[in-house]
Amino acid sequence: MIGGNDKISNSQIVFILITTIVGVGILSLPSALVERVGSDGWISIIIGSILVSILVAIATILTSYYPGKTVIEFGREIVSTPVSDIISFLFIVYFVVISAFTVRIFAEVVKMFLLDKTPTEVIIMTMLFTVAYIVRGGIEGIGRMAEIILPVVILPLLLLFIAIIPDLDFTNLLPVFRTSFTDIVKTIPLTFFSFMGYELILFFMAYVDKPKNSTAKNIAAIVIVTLIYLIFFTVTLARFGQNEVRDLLWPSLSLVRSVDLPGFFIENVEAVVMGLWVLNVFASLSPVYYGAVLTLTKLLRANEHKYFVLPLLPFIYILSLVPDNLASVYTMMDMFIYYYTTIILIGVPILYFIISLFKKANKKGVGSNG
Amino acid sequence: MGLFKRFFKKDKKKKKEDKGKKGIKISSNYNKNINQIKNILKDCEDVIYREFTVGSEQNYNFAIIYIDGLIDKKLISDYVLESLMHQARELEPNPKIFKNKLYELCKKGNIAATEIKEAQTIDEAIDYILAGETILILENYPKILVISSRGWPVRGLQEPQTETVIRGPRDGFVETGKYNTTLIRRRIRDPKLKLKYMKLGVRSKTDVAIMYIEDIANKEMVEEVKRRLKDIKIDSVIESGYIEQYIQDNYYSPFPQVETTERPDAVAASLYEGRIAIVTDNTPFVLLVPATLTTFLQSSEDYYERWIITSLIRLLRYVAALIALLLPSLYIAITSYHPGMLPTELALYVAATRDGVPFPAFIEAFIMEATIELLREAGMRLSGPIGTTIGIVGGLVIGQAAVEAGIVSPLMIIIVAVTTISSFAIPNYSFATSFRIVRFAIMLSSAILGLYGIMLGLLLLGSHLVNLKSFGVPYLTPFVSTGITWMDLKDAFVTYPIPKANKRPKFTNVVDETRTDEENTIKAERGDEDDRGQ
Amino acid sequence: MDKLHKIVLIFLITVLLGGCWDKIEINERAFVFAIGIDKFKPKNMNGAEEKRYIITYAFPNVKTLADQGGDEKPRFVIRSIGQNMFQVSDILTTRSNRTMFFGHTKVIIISEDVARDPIAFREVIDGLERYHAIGRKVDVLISKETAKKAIDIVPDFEPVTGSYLRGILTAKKRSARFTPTTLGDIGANMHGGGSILIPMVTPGETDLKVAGAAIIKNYRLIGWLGEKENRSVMFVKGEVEREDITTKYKDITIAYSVENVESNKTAKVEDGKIKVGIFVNIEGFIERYRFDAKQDLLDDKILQEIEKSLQNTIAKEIKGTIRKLQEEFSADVIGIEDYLSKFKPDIWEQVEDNWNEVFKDIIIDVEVDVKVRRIGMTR
Repeated sequence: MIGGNDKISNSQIVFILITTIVGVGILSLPSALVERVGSDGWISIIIGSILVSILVAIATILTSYYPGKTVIEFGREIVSTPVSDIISFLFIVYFVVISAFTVRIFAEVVKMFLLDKTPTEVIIMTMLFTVAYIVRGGIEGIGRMAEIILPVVILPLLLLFIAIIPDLDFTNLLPVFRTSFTDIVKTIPLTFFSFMGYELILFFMAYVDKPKNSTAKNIAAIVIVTLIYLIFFTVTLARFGQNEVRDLLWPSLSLVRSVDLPGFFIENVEAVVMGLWVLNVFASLSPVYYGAVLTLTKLLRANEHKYFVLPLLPFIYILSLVPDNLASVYTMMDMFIYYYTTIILIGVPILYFIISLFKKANKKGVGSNG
Repeated sequence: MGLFKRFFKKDKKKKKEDKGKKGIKISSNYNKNINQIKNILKDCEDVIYREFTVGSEQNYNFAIIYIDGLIDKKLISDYVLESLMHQARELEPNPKIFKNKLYELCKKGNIAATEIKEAQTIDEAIDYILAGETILILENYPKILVISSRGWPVRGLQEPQTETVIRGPRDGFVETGKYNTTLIRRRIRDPKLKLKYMKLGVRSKTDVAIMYIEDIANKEMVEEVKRRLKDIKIDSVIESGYIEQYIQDNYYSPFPQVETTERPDAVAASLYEGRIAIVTDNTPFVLLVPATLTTFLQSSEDYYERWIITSLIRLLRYVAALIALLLPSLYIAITSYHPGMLPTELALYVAATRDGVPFPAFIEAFIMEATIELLREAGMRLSGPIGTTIGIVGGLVIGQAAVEAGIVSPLMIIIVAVTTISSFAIPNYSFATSFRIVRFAIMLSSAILGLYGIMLGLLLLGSHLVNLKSFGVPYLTPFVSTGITWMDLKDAFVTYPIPKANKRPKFTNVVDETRTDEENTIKAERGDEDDRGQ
Repeated sequence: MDKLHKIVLIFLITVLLGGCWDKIEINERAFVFAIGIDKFKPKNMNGAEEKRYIITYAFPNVKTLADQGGDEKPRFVIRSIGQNMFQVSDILTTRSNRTMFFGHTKVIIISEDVARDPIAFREVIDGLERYHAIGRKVDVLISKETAKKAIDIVPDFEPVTGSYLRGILTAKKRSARFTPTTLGDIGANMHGGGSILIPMVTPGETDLKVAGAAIIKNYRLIGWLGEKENRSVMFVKGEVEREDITTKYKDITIAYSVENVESNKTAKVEDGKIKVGIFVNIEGFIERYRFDAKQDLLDDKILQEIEKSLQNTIAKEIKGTIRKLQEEFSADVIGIEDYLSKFKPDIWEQVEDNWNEVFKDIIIDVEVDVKVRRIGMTR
């Protein structure tokens, strides 16, 4: 109570989920979707979100079977220690790689819009150190930070969107429903993986004090993310039209650059948005980095996670510099995501869940569950 | 005497270890007692030994010992000496009864003093002398009476200079702990207002009082406060600042985690909110715990005026805090790194004004900020008319001259001026000071990395604040917490008309799940106002 | 906590010592307001097939802002020859002590030469689009003569070319004789493979005139639209905010001012040909009649006839323009493609692939409806 208690509330988890998931994915989502399915991309988003919601429900219920324990710990109960530890180690790799990609894309964006000549290494390093600082503080700090950052980023963006409304041509959203269903289905992996980050539920629910209605709340987080994606998609499309969106690298950013706030003293809102973007990426990175640190800590059965924060940093740093350029980054990311991530994000929770159900059914006769 | 001294010295050492558990016993020998005291208080020439005789035959020796200047002499002479010397003459001359009863008589009946205690050991007696009490030594009696007689020069009640308000009481705390607690008592005439004394500081033995309202404050927090205070092992507690540094959660942080105030009304209001006050003798600065960000940005005046106005002013304070923190950094970032952000004409104007300035923007900013800080410090040391003159001279003349000399651009002067004024808008001085430090750090990061640097700086700051706690209460409550209450969040930004604010801020109880009875208490007290709006 | 702090601090200091990479003092920058791009024709073709351009920058002299009135020149113009803007910027740094900054660029003038050359034009547009510092909101103009000449002229009203032109262009409210086009618009359109109009700028003696438009199709300039033709296109698109139409009523020349225009389109397939209907609704007031002591203007019948006359005039104009667009250029700048692809996707799917050919054969009906709402102060 007086002193760190390492407890966060369920609503903080919701905030963490939202800020983590809406990370670098949002930059390119509209153009990737339009390229494949034109103006029907929103259908793909909705379907993707439904699938994710199912997985979120599974994950949350799974954690509710083992209150106070993270997946690293209860995994040992489910599939025996060695197997679970291997899986946990895979999670660490996953977190580190995702962090590396995220921070790399982030650095590229910053370089393009804010700091041209500053070396990428510096941008990455400084961001990583800042994230390391808050990760040292533990889950409490991260939760609170997410609570602050989310409104700070979302509200101005919403205002911005309201300001764009005069420039929007909603006829660009037409025609609807012209793409074939198979095409839409093909894009579902894309949208599904835009929701990456929800696996943190498996790790952080352990720290929630007396969770109530967690499943509903976590799904609410997904719903909000979906809304955000839909709004971005719709507005981007309405602003630029299908043709151009296809060609823009980062349509979301181009979108905000095109906003004209007459009379405001900041002519190019772009810089403000970039500032908010930095906050957003920070909020995306810190839980993921913390996930890696936490997993490592629990794997090695250590007490304090602080010692593991800095050692992981070089890995992320080096990895982030591996791709030569942005194209490489995306290629590598795609490969990594399609194979590795599928297992981690989908396979593991479902597997654990099914086995848990099994065990629970077995234990029913024996006594109450822990 | 020599032996005696050695014995005494050993005792003193033991006393240090044992925290005064065993002291020198009071002997029945009158002279011995006096001499012992004289020995310990050797070379303290402000200690007065007044020996006198009592009894119709003037054969009983009494002595009072006190420190000149610390006591109310009139009290002693009129009530103690008078009653002892004159009235005791009327006693029967039966020696035995007299002897035994004398003490009791004196203690219970004869001395018209408002407070009488007993000292058990010589050391305790000396402590009392040093505290400003008068001790009374009777002949052949192994006990010493302590008569309360404190009275020393005290400053009259004035409005505190660091926390002035337009509307509100103008009494401020003084340097005497007892008066300060009185000022608080006057505002809370509730038997549940508890006061506990402690003596902190091995040599200074400063009286420290903890005050709280029993059924509102969180019991665990009270215990924690007591515990932390007891753990203070230091020679002297000269000012409450010493205490503050011992009890705060994180001494690396530039942000204060304990609020200080000179205003009794602020203390009273805080106590009603469930906070705990620590009153330290010899300083008018009372500590309030726990403290969060919002407490530093509030002023007691906020609730005395109409709520719309104070709400706007409160919002203005937030803006001022942001400006004080960020404005110079934004200037540096925008002019050096991102001139595209400015509207075209402004950009041209800025470029025009900076033409000919020899320094890059951030050096310019640093120089000006440093100059302002120097002026501030100088102005603070000089009080009265000199101080204000320096302020004006410094501000106008130096600034103007600098611009004309071409060292800085006029825009820079404006920025620095606005920043400084904004930092004065922050009600709490120590909190504003932390901004000064952080501002420089952010200026540095904006000089290296532009807007990105500012963002990183803010994130680092945020990370620090987010993890900061004051007695277990997160510093950034009510913006973040496990369970934000809307009321608190709104209250952070906007003041509520008092009839509507019928729940106390939750942050004092956030730490503990079990709530105290406060809701019932409030409702009972406010009667018809409950449940409105909630 | 201590150790981490020290490590972080040391690292930070190292970073600091490394330097501030992007810091450029604001008074060391030249805020380029206008960019002009011309083709470079070397006197002797020594076989070098590289396309090279003359790029001109105009930027204001900041000093004139600070001290009002000095006899400093209000603006500077510099130019150089190179492959593209970056190269030229670099070359120019050898000659000027300022860094070119394009965050405030207002106008880009491309000369006709460049526009007519599809490769050159594409290079130029791509370079501009890709460069993040130049925003999407920059206006683009095509100059009938050289861009160099256009920029060289120091207009009387406002010495800084960029601001001057931007001022004109934002005054869409005042005239529909040109269609302000931003870099973003061009990009959007060209990505779709469509056609677009870019306003034309003509250098005068001491000013620049922006009127008419260049028709850009397939990445190059294929023709011009006059001022009035441009106006027609604006009518069809419904984007006219203020225009003057003169027409004859009986033998009186009437001046009518347009206040508001709405336009709709319909499309259907008839006899294997696409029939598109364009309906333009115009509202406005009469500016000038002819002073007549006996005859009042405020007469229903007269107004109706005037309206009809106006309708005919405008419809004729529009039809003429459309015909020109269809037959001469086959350039759909009036937004029919847009309409079909969105509202009539079935039709669009059929003709998508050879739209350019199909466009020529579309039957376009134009109906104009004019309303006179006010007639001014007198009767």
